[in-house]
Amino acid sequence: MKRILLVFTLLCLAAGAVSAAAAGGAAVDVKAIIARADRARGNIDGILWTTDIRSTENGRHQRREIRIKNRGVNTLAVFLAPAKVRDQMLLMLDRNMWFIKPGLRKPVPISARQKLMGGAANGDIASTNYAGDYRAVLKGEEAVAGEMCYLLDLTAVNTKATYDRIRYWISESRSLGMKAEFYTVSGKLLKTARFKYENRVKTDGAAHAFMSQMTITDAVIKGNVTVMTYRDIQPRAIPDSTFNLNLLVH
Amino acid sequence: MKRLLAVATACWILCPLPAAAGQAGRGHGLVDRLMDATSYRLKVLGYGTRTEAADAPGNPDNRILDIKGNAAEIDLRPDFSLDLNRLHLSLQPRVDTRWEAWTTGIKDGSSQTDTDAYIYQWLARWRATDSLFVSYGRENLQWGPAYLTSFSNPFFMDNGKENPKTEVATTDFARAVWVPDLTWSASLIANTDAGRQSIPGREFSRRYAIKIDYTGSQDYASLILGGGEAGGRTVGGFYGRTLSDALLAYAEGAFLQHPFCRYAEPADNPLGFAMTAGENPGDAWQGSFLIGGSYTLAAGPTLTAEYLYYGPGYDDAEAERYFDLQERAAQAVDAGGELGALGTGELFAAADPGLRFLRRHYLMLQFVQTDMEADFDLTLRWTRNLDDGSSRLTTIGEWHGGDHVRLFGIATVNRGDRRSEFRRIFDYQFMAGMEYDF
Repeated sequence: MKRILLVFTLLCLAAGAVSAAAAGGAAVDVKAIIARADRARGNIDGILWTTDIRSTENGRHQRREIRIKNRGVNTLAVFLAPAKVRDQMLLMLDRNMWFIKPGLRKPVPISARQKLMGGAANGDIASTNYAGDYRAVLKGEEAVAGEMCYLLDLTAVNTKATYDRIRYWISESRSLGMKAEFYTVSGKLLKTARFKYENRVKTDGAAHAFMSQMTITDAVIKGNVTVMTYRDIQPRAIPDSTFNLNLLVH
Repeated sequence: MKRLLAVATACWILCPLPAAAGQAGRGHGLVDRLMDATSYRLKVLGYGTRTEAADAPGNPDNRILDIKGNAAEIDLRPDFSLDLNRLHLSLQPRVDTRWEAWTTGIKDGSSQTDTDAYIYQWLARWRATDSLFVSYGRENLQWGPAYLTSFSNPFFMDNGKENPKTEVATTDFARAVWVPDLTWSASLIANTDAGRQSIPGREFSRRYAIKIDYTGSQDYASLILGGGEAGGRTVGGFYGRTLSDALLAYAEGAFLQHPFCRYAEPADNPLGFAMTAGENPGDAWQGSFLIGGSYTLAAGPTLTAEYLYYGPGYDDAEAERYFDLQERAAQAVDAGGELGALGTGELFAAADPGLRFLRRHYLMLQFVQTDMEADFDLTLRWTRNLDDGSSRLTTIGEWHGGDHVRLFGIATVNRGDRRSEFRRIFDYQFMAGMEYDF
């Protein structure tokens, strides 16, 4: 009888341990995971990269080539191609955003929601700060492209965030965002994004993965797809003056 | 010694030249590196304009303003820039060739062709340190969040928003910009020459401003103190806030002296009125402000609303006198002789009273949607003078034909009675054209 009781007790303890590990809530530092995922999506203290954007929207094809200078949550995007948009600029200082068109000279304040091209909003080309802008709840685990991921439910903690709610899949082994679903306040799915990380950058003495591709698919019209490809990644000190409007408008 | 100093300075400027993106595999000679540091773009713009002059008391039969009924223009707009280690140079020459024809007024039935070559903008900017920049050049220096005007800008009345295809006349500035961190910056600005901002009958006088800028995590603000050799001090500023991912709010205001504003005052002349500067202009501080906001719908369009109050604008009595003067002056012009000359002079003076807006209260509503179906951008802007009921509707449409070509049309239609602001100059203007970016 004692032996049966001992086995039962051990089984109960083991089951409890497995259950706690599965839930993961206490053991996983969700904010730290998201912060690491943010870093791989550009939230680094001084980095340059070039983004090629290709969009297909209702059969219409468009492209943009943009040089990004990024420092933390501040981004200067300079349009390189095509010719009709060359030297246009988007300046994002945290949540403040301006559009500067050569010739007009007057910077126009714009919102993150305003459409950039195809399925990409202005806010999509900047680095992400999900760790700061969203409250995260671990909802479980799911595999994305054969890779086990934490499934996080992100809710905007302030009105500054580009999206009200995001379901975010972060690789358990690599701490990289693999997939995201973007929702409105009413719970309507707007679009889905999938990410690839074939770039490597070295910051703080260590090499780590950096985003190489973001594919945005419209929730309603599945053929509306925007692909953003990242290349020429260069960690570099970027002075404050790079982000000053008085010096950009000339 | 001087030569040595010049060589040392040149080395400091030129070496090391920046390693521009995409230069891998190129040579490392001075010419190659200069080529890497140089960039240019070329825009060719061709358009035609049809304007219907208004039957207004201030421009009887279009005899005062000589508004061209039809015009066609081809503009070459190359922009060059060179970014060396510490020096940024830019040059924007222009060649405008235009044909103009008059369908009313003194020149009715005549036409002319003209070519104008000039430097629209140029700039030499020196990075003295990582946080201090000094520059001199001919610039279109704009700031502020609003579409209607920027009250805090003492240098430009036109912010270029009314017609995005025409370039705002530039003027010469010396500037020093200090950027101690991401949050704060300060600029000293001196307007040293009129440049292409020529105002008939008005002499240029130097003007100065101090501009202090703040940028927070979701808001921004600037304070601008201005003054000049001929008076006209200003204290202005603006504030903007990002309330959500879709909602922006902003405000701008200024207190200003207005020695250049003219009002129709009773006078001892045959017209009974004369355009005169306000009494004691040096002491006359006037306040003006604007509040606005924009909201981007999930479907794409951005809606903007602005209300502005313009202190120096005419009240009802001043507006009555202004239009009375114009009507009497127009009758005097018909009479000819000395009386006609007096009338003509007053009409010219009344044509530009030195005001940003004629009256005091305005409302603007705007709809903008870019990247619409069929590669189309659309802007609708409706501005109403709340004092006299006149209004202006501006429609700007652009169609993108591939990576280089844009076709555009701009229609401006004014509504109101003969004695109203928006029908002072023209009833409508249609502009259509094409631009090509190389």
